[in-house]
Amino acid sequence: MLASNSNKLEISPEDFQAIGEIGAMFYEQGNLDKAQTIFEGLVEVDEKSGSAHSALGALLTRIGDEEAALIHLNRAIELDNRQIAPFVNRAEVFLRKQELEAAVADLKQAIELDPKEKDPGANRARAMVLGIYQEIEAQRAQAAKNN
Amino acid sequence: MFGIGKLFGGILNKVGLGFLSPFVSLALNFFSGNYLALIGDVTNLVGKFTNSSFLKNMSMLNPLGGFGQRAGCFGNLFSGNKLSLLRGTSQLLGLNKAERMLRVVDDFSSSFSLVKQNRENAYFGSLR
Repeated sequence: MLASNSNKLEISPEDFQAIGEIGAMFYEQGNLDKAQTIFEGLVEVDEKSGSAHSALGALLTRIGDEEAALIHLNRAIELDNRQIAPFVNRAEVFLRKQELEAAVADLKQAIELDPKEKDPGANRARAMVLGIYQEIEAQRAQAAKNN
Repeated sequence: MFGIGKLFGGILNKVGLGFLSPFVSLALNFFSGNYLALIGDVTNLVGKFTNSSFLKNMSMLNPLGGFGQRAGCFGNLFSGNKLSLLRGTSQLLGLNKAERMLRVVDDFSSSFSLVKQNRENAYFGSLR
């Protein structure tokens, strides 16, 4: 399988994926510096990789670098709008920025991409929607009590 | 709608997303958009959940996407002097981030090979 034209080092897709998975392993272990180094490297190697932008965006969301996260999450979605993860993470960024409508729109996208409730990322989106719903109900109950 | 009433306490706290609660609360307090439309969207979404079992299969970390679905064997990434060649090329092309990435991968490959070797030694040692 040929590397994509945007791949500056002509790393094979299999090796590119393997490197990404090493980054994922560091990410899950909490070794975020190494994970970030890997994801940033992959973005530099292939700026048109939706997976690379999605992974870097996820990490930046996790560490709270919202503006940088948005750059990569937006790019991930632009490159492949069937990926669930960037919608889930962008929703979290929007929530932190108190852009509720945008957050709910992204959560809706993530959920609709996984109608069978099998994807762990989409299920995280479902949990976030539930949390928003509970908060709305709590505020309604409080408002009713005050009236 | 499935039994949301049975989910006692803050759902976000229960599933490790408690840090989002204050953001949600603030966002609702200062919401200046179409509140009814927002409630409608959220209620419709929740109404489609078949049950709460999805809570047992959700990402506890921000999901990565493609790299998160791991095969875990790294193919033949570590074969021969592939990594050295790639590092050399990235240096030549001035791809500093790629070079740093490959250094990390190279370090990892050394420990990965050591673990693999140790396992093989232990296995074959046990056969003798």
